Amino acid sequence: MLLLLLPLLAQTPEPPAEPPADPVAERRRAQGEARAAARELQRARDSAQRVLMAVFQEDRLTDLGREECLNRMVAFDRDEDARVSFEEFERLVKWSPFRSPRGNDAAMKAEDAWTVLLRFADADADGVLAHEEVLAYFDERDLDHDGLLTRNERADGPRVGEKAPDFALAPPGEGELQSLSALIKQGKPVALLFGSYS
Amino acid sequence: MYIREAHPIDGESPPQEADAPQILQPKTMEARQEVATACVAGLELDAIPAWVDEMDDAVNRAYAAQPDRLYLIGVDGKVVWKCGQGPRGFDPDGMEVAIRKLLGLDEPPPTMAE
Repeated sequence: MLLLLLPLLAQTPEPPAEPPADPVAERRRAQGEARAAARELQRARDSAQRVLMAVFQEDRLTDLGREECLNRMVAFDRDEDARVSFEEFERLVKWSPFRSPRGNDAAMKAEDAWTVLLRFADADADGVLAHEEVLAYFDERDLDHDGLLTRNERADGPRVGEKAPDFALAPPGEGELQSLSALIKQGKPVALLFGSYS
Repeated sequence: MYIREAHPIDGESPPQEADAPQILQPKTMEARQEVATACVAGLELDAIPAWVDEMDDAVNRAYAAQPDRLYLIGVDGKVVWKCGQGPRGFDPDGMEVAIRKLLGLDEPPPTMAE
């Protein structure tokens, strides 16, 4: 009996036939993968925008820790060389929180935003942002050295004892430009009240 | 110094109070001048010299002023006192103290010579 079964046992069983591909299911799977990839890229962009806003003088975030700041820079650093180039920056930054200098509310181009970032943090002026340069900028702004960059520390303006930035602006309505320095030359202290109607 | 509107009705955080000024964020310098003029009149600030920041918000950013802030500049052109950014950091009482101190208004009266 066993001999009769041997040929049957020796045969390699045929694998079950593949069910015919369902093009609709395939398309849905591909779309799902694309959506997941897009969500991941958007999360990375949001993360990049948050670090820009937190470190580089926007004030819409809560406090930023030093380690989180470094983690955000690592997110930019695609080739992991501890520096962020313009190409790495452009890949993640969909828009910039900085206003256009051209007098409208359109977001700045990535090139313009990069120029602003380099001005703030590129200490050795080599055109790339090293992680330690960003951390040095963080430490400089962390006035109480507690490893936490608060809203007020992030965007501090001139410090007590520093020269007040001069400017020349027009009054509301019509009128000639007047500079802060001209006002100071009149020999009295000047109180500056910044604000808006709302 | 009139700067970018903090709570324009077309912004991310429009005003909550019903009687708050309903202001669109000015998109041109002409519009900003108009709102600044209305601001000075509406808040009765006519007695105070006023400036209007340019559309690039350069002075706003130089002083980290958004949404509101106070600075006291001495006769040497240096910052004598500053408060934090509003609303939590806005400190008009602190500015009054700083002004009085700068002008010597709270110095103790000289003692009478015997």
